[in-house]
Amino acid sequence: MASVALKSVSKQYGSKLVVEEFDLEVKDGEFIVLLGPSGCGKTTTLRMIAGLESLSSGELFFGEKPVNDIPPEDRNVGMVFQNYALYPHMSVFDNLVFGLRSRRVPKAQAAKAVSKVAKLLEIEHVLTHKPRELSGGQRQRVALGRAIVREPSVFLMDEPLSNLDANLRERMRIELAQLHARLGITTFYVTHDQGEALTLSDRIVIMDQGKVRQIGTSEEVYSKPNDTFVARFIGSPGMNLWNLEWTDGPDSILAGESVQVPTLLRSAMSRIGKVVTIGVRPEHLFLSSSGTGDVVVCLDVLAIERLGSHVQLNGVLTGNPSLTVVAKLDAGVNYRRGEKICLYAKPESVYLFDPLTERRVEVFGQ
Amino acid sequence: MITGTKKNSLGSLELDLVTNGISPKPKITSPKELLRVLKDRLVAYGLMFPALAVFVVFFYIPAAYLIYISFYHWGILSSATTYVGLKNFDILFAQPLFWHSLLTSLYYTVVMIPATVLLALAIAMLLRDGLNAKRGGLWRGAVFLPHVTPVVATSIVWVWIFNPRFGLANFILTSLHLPALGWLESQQWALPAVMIDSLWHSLGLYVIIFLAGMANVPKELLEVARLDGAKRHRVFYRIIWPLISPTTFFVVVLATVNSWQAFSQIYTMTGGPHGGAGGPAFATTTDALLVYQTAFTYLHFSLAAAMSLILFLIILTLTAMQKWISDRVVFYR
Repeated sequence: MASVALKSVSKQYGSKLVVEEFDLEVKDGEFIVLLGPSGCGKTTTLRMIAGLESLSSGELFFGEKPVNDIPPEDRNVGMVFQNYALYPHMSVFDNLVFGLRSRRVPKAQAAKAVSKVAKLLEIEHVLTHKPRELSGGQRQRVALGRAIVREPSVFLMDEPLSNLDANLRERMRIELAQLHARLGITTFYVTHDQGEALTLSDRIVIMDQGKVRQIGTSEEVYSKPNDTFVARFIGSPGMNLWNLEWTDGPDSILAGESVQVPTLLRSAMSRIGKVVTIGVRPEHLFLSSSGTGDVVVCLDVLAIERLGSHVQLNGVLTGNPSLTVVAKLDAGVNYRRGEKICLYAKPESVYLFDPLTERRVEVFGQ
Repeated sequence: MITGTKKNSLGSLELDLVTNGISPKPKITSPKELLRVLKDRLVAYGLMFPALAVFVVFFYIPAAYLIYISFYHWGILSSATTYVGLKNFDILFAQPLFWHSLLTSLYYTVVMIPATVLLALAIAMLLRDGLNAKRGGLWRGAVFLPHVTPVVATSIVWVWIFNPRFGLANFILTSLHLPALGWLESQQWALPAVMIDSLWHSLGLYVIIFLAGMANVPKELLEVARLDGAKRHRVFYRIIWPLISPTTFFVVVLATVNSWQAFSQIYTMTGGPHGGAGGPAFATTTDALLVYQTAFTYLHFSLAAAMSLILFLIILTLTAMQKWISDRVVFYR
C-alpha cells in the first residue's frame, strides 16, 4: 500500500491538452473518486497513474518513490476496466492466477492466494468456468479479484459498474465500499455517476475539460461548490443558476424581475458587481415561506414530473423566460402547467457566484 | 429465403414464423400475395444468377468433368472416349516420377507452412508494435506490395537474383564469406530458391491477415496483462497467440492450399516456356507442375485429370486434418 502524489501532472496529445496541471496528494488507504463528464480527462489521469500513458509533464510519486519512468508491469497497481477485460480464453482460476504467475509467485502459494480471494468475492464455485459463462456481476467480481489477488499498492477502477444493471450496480457499490474498508488499498475510482462518487469516496476530484475544478469530500463539493460548474454538476438535478442584474431597495433587493433577495446579501452582491449569478438548489426551494427575509423566486410552470416521493417542477423565471428553474417539492399539491407560482428559500441556502470568473463568493462564510 | 423489399410480405412472413413455430414456408392467403412472393423469389434468384453462373460454368462443370475424364481415355482432339476404370491411376502409381513429384510437393509444403506463419507473424508483430506509429500505412503498403505484382514478372527478377555467376544472392553470400551456391542450377538449391521467391511474394497477404487478427485482440487485455506484471514475451504467448489462433489456423490452411498448388513461380523460374521446367533433374517438379506438363506438354489429359483428383484429395484430407486439430486447440470467441 502506498500514498500517491501527483505534482503538476499534464497530458498533451499533439496540441490538445487533455489533463492540465493536476495536483493531488492522496493518503495511504484513501478512496479518491475522479468525477466529471465524458472527455474531461479523468480516465487519462487514471491511465497515467497506471503507467499506460506517459506524463507530458509533472511528477508522479508512489510513497516517496518517483514512478514516472517505471513501466506498468513494475508499478504494482491493480486495475479494473469498464468492460472487465477478462482473458476470454482462460478459466476464472487462470485469470486470477495470471498476475501472480507473471510475478513468479510459486504455484502453491498462488493457488492459496486465489482461493482466498475467490472466497472473499464468493466466486469459488465458478473457478473452472470461462468468462463467457459468467453473469455480468460475476465477471465484475472476477475482474476485482484479479486486481486485488496480488495485493497491489494502488487500486485503479475505470467506471467498473457502468456495464451492470441498476439494481446490481447499487449492490456492487455497497460491496466495493465494504471491500475497500476491509483491504484499505489506496484507490482511484473513475466515474461520471455522482451517486457512486458521493457514496464511495473519501474525497472527490471534480474535473472538467482537463482541469481540476474542486477536490473535497462529498459534503464539501455539495455544500461549498468552488464554481458554477461544480454547482451544476453535483446534485440531482444540479443547482439553479441565474445571471441577473439587481436593484437595491429599502426592504429587499430585486434581481431581474422575479427574484427577491434579503438585504443582508447586499454587501456580497456589491463586491461582485451589477450582475450576479444567484444559485439555489432545487431541493432548497419550498412552496411556503418560513418567515420574513426569505428569498422569493417566481416562475411560470412549464412541466410537472410526479416522482412519487416528490414533485419536480420545471419552469422559467417570470419575466426572464431564458432562465430555467427546477424545484423539488413535496408531493400532494396539485400543480398546473402554465401556472405562475412563487417559491421560497432560506437566505443561507442561496449561493452567489461572480458571472465573470464563475467562482463562488462567500455570503455567510459558507 | 425471401429478399423482397415489400414490407407487408416480409412482415406477414415473420409473423407466420413466430406464431407457427418452425414453418419455413409462408402462408399464402390470396392470389395477390402469391404473386408478390413469386416476384420476391424471382428478384432473389435474379440477383444470385450472375455469380452462380460463373461458379457453375467455370468451376463446378470443369471440376465434375475432370473427375469424369480421370476414369476415361480422353484426348482433346479425339471425339472418342473409352471408359478405362482405374487404369489411369494404375499408370500413375507405377510411375516413379509421380511419387517423386508428390514428395517434392510435400517438401515444399512442409517448409513453406512454418516459414510463412513464423515470418508473417514476426513481421505483423513488428508492424503492430514498432512501426505502427507514424508511417504504419507506408510500411504495411511496402510489405503488401509484392503480393500485387504479377508472379511471372517478379519471378524473372528472382531468376537474375539467383544467377550463380552475377546474381545478387551469391554476391551477398560471398560478401558474408559464405560459399556461393548453384541456386536454380543446383538440384539441392533450386527448390529453396523457388521457396524464397514464393515467400517474398505471398508474405504480404499473410501479414495483412495476421494484422487484422491482432487488431481484434482488445487493447485492454494487453494492458491488463502488462499491469498483471507480464513481460512482452509472456503477453505474446499467453494472450496474443491464443487469441489469434483462428487467424493462424486460417493462414495455415491458406498456405497449405497455396503450397500444394504452387505453379507459376516454379514454372517461370525453372525453365518456363523454353521447356525443362521442373528441373534440374526434376528437382522442382511438384505435383501441380507435373499435372501441367502431363496435360499440355505430353497431352495425356486423362492422366493429368487423375493426378488433379489425387491432388484435390490430398489437399482435402490435409485441410480436414487441420480442421480436426484446430477444433481442439483454436479458441473461438
